[in-house]
Amino acid sequence: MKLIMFEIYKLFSKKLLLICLVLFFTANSIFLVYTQSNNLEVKTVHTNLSDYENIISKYSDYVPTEAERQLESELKTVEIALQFDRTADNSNGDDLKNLGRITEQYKAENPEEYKKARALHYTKQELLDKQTYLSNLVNQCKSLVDYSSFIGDMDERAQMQTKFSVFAEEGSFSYNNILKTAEDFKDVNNTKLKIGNNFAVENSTTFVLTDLLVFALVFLMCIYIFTLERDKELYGLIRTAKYGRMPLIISKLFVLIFFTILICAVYYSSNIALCGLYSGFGDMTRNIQSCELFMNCNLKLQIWQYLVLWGLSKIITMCVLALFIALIFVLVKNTGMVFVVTAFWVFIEGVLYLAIGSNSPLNQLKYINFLYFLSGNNIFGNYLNINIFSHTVNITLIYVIAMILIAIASVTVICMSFVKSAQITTNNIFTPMLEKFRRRFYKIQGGVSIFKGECFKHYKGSMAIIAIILLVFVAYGNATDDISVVYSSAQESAYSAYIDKLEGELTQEKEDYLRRQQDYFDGLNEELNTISTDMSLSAEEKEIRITAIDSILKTKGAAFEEISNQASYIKEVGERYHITPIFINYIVYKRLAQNPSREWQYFTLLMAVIIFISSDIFAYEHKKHMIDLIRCTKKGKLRLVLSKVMTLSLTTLISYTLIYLPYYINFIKTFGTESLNTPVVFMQDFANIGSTISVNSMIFITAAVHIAEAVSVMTAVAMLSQVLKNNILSMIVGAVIVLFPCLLCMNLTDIRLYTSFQKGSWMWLVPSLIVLCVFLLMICLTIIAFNFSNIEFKAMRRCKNEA
Amino acid sequence: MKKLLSALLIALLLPTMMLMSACNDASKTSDDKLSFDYTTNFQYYYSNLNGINFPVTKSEKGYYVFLPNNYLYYIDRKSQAATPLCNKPNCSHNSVDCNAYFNLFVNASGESANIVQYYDGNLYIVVKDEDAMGNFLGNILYKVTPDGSTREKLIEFKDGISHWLIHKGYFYFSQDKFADDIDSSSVYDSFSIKRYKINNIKSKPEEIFNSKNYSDNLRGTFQFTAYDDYIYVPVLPISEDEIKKQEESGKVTVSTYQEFYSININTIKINQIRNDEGDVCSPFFYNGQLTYLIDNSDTNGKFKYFTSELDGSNPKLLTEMNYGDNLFANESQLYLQNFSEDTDENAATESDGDNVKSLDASFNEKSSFLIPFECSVLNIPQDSDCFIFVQQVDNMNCEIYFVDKSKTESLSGQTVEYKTLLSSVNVEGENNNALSQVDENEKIDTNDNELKNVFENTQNKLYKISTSYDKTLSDEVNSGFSVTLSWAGDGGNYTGNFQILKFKTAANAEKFVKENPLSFVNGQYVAFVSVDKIPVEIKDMLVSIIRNEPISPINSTDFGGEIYSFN
Repeated sequence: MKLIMFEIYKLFSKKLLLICLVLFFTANSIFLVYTQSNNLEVKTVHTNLSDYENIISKYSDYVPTEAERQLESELKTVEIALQFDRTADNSNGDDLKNLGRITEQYKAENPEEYKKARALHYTKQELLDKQTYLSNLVNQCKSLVDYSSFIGDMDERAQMQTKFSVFAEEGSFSYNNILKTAEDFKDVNNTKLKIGNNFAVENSTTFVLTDLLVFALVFLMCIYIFTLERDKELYGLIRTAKYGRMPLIISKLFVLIFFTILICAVYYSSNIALCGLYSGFGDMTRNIQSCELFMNCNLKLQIWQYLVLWGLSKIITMCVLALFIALIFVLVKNTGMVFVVTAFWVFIEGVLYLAIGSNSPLNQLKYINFLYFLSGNNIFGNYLNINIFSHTVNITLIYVIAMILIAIASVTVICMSFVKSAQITTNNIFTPMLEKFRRRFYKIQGGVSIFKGECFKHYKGSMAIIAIILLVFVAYGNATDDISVVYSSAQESAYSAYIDKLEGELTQEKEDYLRRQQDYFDGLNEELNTISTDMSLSAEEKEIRITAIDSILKTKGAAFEEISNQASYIKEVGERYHITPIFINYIVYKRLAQNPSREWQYFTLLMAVIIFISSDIFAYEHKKHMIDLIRCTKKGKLRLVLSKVMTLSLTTLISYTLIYLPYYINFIKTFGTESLNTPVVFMQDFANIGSTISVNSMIFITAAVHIAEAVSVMTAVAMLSQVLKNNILSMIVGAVIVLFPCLLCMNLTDIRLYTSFQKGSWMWLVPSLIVLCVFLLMICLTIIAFNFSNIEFKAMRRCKNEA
Repeated sequence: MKKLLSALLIALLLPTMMLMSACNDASKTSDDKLSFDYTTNFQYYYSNLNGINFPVTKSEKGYYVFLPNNYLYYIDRKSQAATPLCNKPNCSHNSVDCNAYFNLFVNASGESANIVQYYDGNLYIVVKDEDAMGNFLGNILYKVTPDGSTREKLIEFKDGISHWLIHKGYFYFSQDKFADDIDSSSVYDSFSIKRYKINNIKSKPEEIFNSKNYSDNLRGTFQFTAYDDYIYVPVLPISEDEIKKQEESGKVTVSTYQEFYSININTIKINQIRNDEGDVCSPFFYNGQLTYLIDNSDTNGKFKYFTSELDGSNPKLLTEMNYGDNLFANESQLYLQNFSEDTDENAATESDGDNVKSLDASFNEKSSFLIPFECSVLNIPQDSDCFIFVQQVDNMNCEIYFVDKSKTESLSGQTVEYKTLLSSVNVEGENNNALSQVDENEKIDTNDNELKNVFENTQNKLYKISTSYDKTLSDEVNSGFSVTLSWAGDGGNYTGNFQILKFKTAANAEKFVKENPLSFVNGQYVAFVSVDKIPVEIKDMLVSIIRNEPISPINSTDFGGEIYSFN
């Protein structure tokens, strides 16, 4: 018991852990509320919660078909009322005529709803809100209506499917899967479903950030529990307890599991609470299949029961994950290598989960995977059977078996390894070889300048050189990658061929050319008509000739239509901005200016590298116990700080160049520089850019913002490194604050700089971002300088104390 | 002495035995030519060399067919029932996660070429690969188990492919190279045909044909086919501008649009299939030989069919057929389909669908039957056991029809008995009855004689006509069809799509017209126009359609300039 208490005390004496607990909890809550408020439906329900719940309580006891009918009638009433609103707001004659026609149509087809709409007195916003949540309820009804018959017929469907020869082979996975699925869904047959407020349960169980944050906390706890004592070489002191080392390791594991459970319980339950508070809990006693997200669940549970089961599964998964991480910590005795091994394992899991298709012969690796177990509602909310050596095994059973096996194996190996082997930090196998090489070829001769010394510590000691070398490979790949356009159709190829001819300013010659092409295609259309009505041709000949002309129209003709549209657009833009219209190759320049995946991937990679290289800049001396050796320089500690920051800036600049530049060089090599000076407004997607900046300028502005962000993140992580005095901890905190959001936003293509250019909001966003970055940079530099100048070294502290 | 006699006997018998064996071998060889293993040979009878391909393939136990919504269905041969190829009873078959869904590839011209093939126990399907932005990244060949549960990625084609097939151990594919210069006389520049050994996909592909090495005039290829030891490649021989020139000068022949080449898959010898008497067209395979029609308009209304060796050599006259009579075959079963114009003679038997005759070896009619679907046979004989048709009923719905060929043998002109295997499968994906199968006893009423007459009347004038119509216009519509017309007007050409609708009652039709001013009405029939103004000639034509009156063809350049306005 005492051991456990000591372990708990050791853990919670680390302020960083407490800070991270609070910080991550706050970040989790903020992000959760933010994502919900970003969802139009959820936001609308939040604003009109009482009205929404009133409608639900009015119709929830109806049979779904009747509820659907009633709700559709209400929705139609609102739509008609909106139509009145549109008519009242419109002054264009032609539009009014059309709107009038539609209104009359409504009156004829929906007389009752028309009358009700006339009697409604809502504002436009209120009507739009009503339309939103009524649509949500109508869709719910549709799902419920389909569900009953779908589940009811499942047995019959299964019997029918097994009659098909491809599925009828007894003992095959398909045959077994069909029968097992029908059997497993029998329990939910005749389940009574009701419409209701599903947002809380759906949003709380699909929020991914919590998993990442809890994982980070688990990792942090493992660092404190397993590595700190090893790094400080204290294991010699705690070598043997009364009954051997076993009680010690069991205490450590107990503390790890206990706090993992506690953290999971707090975080996941807070998610449910927050979602419920924001969008309402609704009736939690409904069957879980009432929520569309869980229609593929075969468990007969109420919503609150499902949430409890879901929470338990998260806790169990995190605990087993914690044990697995602990296993790595105990087996690998070098802290740096632990990080590498863990990152590698996470990477492999990620690749297996994302890259393997659900129908692949290796799909077992996709499903028997921690990422799969943690994602969403995969264990209990989504029925699935997997083929394990031709046996049909349900994913829930696989999960249970996997968790038990991994837990038992991890605990066993951890205990045996801890007890039997010395827990002493060892170097990896490469370090002695590298040392030998270095001693042979590199000798320090005389004094070393501060800058050179910092470079040595940074590139060799902190292994920043490895990051640079890896980036060189990335750069090489980007520079030599074949980025030429692969045409998916002859139309695309024809467009490209047209643009090759027309790219650049729209001259009179080009206008004439366009006119001639238009005449050519008009002629082809005429010819089509002529052939159709020509009675002297046989059907086959007509078919062949029509096909020949059709193929031209479908390819070159369709491409020319695009060119014509583009010509009209650039003329209109030219008039608007009083500049000469210019053709730009849309297919090519879209890749440069408008690739959300590439932009975000590069940015995320840059952030990852910066976090890695910056986290050790100030922590290095503390780690190597050299902090007292760097007491003072000739002109004070400021020069040292500046040298460190310069070294870091140099590496950041090199990293930035290696990540971004090769692609641009490759682009220019492949496509030339023809349109780089063309105003980007000539691309239709950037119609709202509000300026005539060129493609080049847009790229420079984007580059400037990225550089500013990179430098500010670099100083922020350097500051963390100084405050925390530990590179691993700095990396973790930096990753959580910067990297995790980057990964989360990978699929949110709206959060991209190019989107702001498209919307025209770049004019205020770009300066704001740069100002923010400069501000952050100044603050971090100030903190660094202040902290560093106030370091009290041991001798000074001793003197002070004695005084 | 005895020994000498025995030796003499052996000496006499041996050559005789050898000769007999040779004869047997010869007859075995000619029989072998007829034997066809559909599990390892390309199922040529689901496509024709004019580039048409049915999305069907045959396996030992049934058939696989793709619907336009990219879902693969399986038809069981025994039970003659269809199901999506998905072994999950809890799947509603309306999402991309369904086992039956494939992101099918389209070829470089945007057309779906050979889509699925059964080969040696597995299905092979080529799909599109796209990134998150929808940019085309290439095509991927998948090997799929017969129950659809597992798919293995075999080859990624970064440059995409145009057409493909698997035949006798090899995966053959063509790649088109597009013309760089837009003013070049063709969209296409050249093409190549390559192959992989299907059991050794990791190896580099072998190029067996490159049009640049053969002729600068070979631009692109249509879907090619394979039979026995040959690949047959229909090629677009000259540029579109050249086609136009020949048309203007009246020197158009079939070879203006298509030439045919054979490639021996063992020797890689390439041969153009020619005939001195005229241009080769509509080739097919009959009794183990290549058979084709000679397009020669100087033959006084008769067309000659020739057979030749599979490489096109030694052509011999097979038969002569009347103008418009198209022969095609599945191995040893001949069919005939007539594509001639309306004549008084044909009017009596004229009906909606395709009239097909099965012939014996002497070209005498064995039976004749009508296939009542819009998707006509078009020289595609299909499997020897059945016809399978996929018909898109309208924008949202699709049906599968199954015709047992054995039941056509006793027909003389009647409509074939067919089974609807799937009814109203929603091809837009929002599918409430994906597994809706038709009860065997359910009869579908396809006979609305009045509308049929109106439809035929319009169809025979060869306007662009479709049996689909906009069902969202009104719930009171019983049936209908749509017509597309083009005309020249101020500023360019115009195209209008007109809906010819038959309402349940005349009152409903009147009500519709009151609510939709852009329409004409006659009794139950309404012609709905989607534009405000049309030339008077078109207005007259639409009115005569719904009055079921004879329609005069309109030359789109003859419009008098008078405009009918719906105001």
